[in-house]
Amino acid sequence: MGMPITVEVVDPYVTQAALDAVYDYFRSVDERFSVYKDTSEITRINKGLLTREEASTDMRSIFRLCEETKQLTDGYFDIRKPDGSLDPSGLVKGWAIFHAADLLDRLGFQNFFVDAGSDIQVRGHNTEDKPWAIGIKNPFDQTQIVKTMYLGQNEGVATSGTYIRGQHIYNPKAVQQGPITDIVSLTVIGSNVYEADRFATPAFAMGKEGIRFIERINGLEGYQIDKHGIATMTSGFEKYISS
Amino acid sequence: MVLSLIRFVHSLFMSSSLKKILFAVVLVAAFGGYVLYQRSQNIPSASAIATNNTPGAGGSGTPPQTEPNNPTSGTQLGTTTTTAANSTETVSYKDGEYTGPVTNAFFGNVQVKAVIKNGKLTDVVVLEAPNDRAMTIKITNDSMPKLKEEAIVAQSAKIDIISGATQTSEAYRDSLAAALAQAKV
Repeated sequence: MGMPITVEVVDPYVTQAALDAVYDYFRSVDERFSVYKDTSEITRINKGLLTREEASTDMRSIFRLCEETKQLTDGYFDIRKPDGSLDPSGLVKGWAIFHAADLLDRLGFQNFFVDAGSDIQVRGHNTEDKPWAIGIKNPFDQTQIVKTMYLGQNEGVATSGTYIRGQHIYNPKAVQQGPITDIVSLTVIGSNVYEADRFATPAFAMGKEGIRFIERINGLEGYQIDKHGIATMTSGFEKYISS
Repeated sequence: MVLSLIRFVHSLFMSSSLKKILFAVVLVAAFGGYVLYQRSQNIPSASAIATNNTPGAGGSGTPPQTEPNNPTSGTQLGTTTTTAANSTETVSYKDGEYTGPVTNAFFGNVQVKAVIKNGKLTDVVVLEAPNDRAMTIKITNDSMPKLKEEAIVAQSAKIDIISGATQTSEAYRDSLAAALAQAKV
């Protein structure tokens, strides 16, 4: 994991303790699931120091959810990397944000968002009592926004993209073909960030057909940008673009 | 941004609600510490100490007076119960195989079976998955209407949040990067 976290709570009764609880939660998720930490549980599993049967409840839940997602996406979602190691971060991120939002919900907050690595769970409305306005970054000029989505029904958003230097997404079923290049960004809106996130990466791994996969799934809408700057959107996406 | 955060924190300290929160936290910590101490003396514990025999525990500020080795009436000797405060590892399952319901997962049905051995989940078997019905991801052009396309254009709408690909761990290797917490009061 290892990415910036932003939490904004609109409700006036928010406390520093509540925000700290959210960051502490993300820290604990990172300690367990980061493949970049030598002492994380996932690293110990990858090194053979811990078996999957001995793993924590959370880790086993994640493996189960990853297996389910792999089945649902016909193998386009696969946590096993070309080098043979396991990296569940494509699902953990949305799962963790979802649980962080649930934490705030249980503490009684109703209007907020939780943003981790620009996958976002919104609840309620923004400070102006309006739906949360979320901009999609221009893959070709990251100082610009190319689309604005208005979310007022507690939706989640996830964007998969390959325009950051050094980041590639592969089709796990055809790694030898090299990274996906025909599309550069795919934004998925779901009923919550867990659903949006777990389908965003495998849909991206399908290349130009990914947006059609999102179209086929009830409850998901998408906005895909190809390498020429042409965007394709699912048939229900337009309901999100007027405030 | 930092200035408004400092002002916010300052205003928090001045407010009595913070004092109440601090008091409650200290109370809970003391109470929790006492419960943990009691549990450490009691292996296996005979019952959840915190739930018995504590008159008005929430507001009193004093730890419960129960003697750890004398379970109060209504509790069973020899049974192990878990308190909600502690870790999920204390929950155990009965050995066997348990099949979940067939669940609709957008793209089709999924059904899983959980295998419990020695009280722990050892395997999850996927019994039914969408692909069983030969419903694959290969989507042909004539199977759905043409999706709307447009050239992307820079927009200047007022936004709250940005969604897009971000730097990952190479750039933020040491735990989570400094997070910006905004709480607008």
